Amino acid sequence: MDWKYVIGIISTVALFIWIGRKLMGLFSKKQLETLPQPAITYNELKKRIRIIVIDDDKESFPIEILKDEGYAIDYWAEVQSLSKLEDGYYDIIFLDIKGITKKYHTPNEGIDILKHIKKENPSQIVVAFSGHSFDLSKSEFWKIADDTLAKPVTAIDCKEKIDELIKKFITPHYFWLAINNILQQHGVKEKQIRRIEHQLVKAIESKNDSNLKPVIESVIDDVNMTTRVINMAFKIVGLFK
Amino acid sequence: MPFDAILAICPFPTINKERKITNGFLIGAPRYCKKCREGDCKKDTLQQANQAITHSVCSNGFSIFLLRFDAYDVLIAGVISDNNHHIRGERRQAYRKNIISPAIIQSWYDAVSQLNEFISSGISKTVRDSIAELHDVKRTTSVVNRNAESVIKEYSAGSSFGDKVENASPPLKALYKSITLLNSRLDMMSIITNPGYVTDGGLRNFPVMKIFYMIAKIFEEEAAQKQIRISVEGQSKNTPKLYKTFDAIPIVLIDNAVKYSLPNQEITVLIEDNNRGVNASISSFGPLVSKEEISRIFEKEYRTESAIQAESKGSGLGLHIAKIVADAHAVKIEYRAEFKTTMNKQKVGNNIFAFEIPGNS
Repeated sequence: MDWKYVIGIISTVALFIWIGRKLMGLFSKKQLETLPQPAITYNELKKRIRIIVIDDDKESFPIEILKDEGYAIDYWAEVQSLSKLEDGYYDIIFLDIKGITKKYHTPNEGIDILKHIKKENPSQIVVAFSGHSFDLSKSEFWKIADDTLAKPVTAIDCKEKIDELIKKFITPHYFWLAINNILQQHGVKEKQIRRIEHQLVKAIESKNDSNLKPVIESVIDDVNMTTRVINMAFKIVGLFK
Repeated sequence: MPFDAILAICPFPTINKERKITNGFLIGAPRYCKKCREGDCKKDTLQQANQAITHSVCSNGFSIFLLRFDAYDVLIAGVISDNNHHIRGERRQAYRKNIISPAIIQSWYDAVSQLNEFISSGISKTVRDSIAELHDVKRTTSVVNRNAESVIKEYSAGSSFGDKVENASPPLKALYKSITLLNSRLDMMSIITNPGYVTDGGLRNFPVMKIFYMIAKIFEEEAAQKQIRISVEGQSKNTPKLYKTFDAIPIVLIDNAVKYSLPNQEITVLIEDNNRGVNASISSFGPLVSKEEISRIFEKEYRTESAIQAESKGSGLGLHIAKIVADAHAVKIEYRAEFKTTMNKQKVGNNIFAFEIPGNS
């Protein structure tokens, strides 16, 4: 037997297999779960997470102490922009019940705001933050929110709560699940959802997210939904930077 | 309305808490019933009925009416319903003053139910109004929180706020702990008017040993004033998933232990893991709860005789709140008295409150 001939055949087959796998890699859609966990440090994550406290009593939340601890916290004495609350601009919202809706004149104040946010963007994290824990009529507020924090609070209580929420919700998996839910609820096809996911993975791997927004915009018609999905997609990418 | 008050306004003979027949304010208990040995009217089989009012006849021919209210059952006995044909003719004649119609029983039941509802709604409104004023207290407490934190931030060493609290001077640390306790107590008041609050916020990991240790530290200053030492013993690595309000249980039990313990004694908090979860007990030396009162210690606003003597002020809400929280977690708090001696005609010994926290499953 001519061994050179045999070796030649084996090498050719191996080459074709290698080329084939490379080509398949090019055409198959990449998935987020195949990526390793983000290497971002917790201190860096804290600085990037946008938190808003909406309460007519500024003393109720230890804003300055937590800013010193490295958290990025904004404060509104009343709701200033519903769209900012709906669109996922803020990662975590601490929402009071009373005295915060002078601009919007809602009869049940914070409860109505919370219901509105959850209706528009179910994945938006809202913490019910109130001193009305004794009031049976406000039970709905506590139950609808993602978490609760009853006043009065210490700085340590607030820090522990925020850390708990970041660990639980500020993950690629949570954001991708939320994007998936929004897209499915609006009837976007599975193929298109996979296309967005593939583009997301490419943006993370190449550290270049310039194509992400156009792809999302090409798939979704609704402007509000596009904004929310883009916000969350960029949050996922941000976790890997 | 309390059970005793209900019996006091009942026109018919009733069975009281001591399971003895007592006269109604209109109709007296038959002498026959007072001497009765059969005790059909006290049998537990009667309690199985589901209706609001149940009529049965005892072996001596008298009618028994079991009336079910929300909070308790009332037994009317020693009467003769006008549709009771079991009683012998001579006995019926002898006790003709005890003949009543079921309609009268129904009317009394309806009147008492309405009265109970009226009193409850009045109490609820009063409690809600009072508790609503707590909202202002909570706002003020927030201001105190922020000011204490500013002082700690400015005058204590440390890179993080947590470190600054640890390194704070003892009086400042004690102040901060007191504020934490005040916050927890305000939380507990919410449970009275809004029991659903117990489970708000979802389950979270509860490092049992750490939390019990922290709560014991909070009460150290107060205990020291009575020369009482609080020791936390045992070990637990368990972090079961519990509601945030679970800390009300150790707060109430340790607080009570400090309040009612005799001076120069030790309070022992014992924590131990077992196969099912964590065993916890709080033991203190002082006047014991009497056997008659044990079944009532978790009732709302109930205070034992020894508690009233030891401390005239008290709401009687602590153990009631602890029970609400325990029930939400399927935890049972048990009380055990270990008699040691008699002092000033009072039995004293170890008061032990124990419960098992279910582990992670």
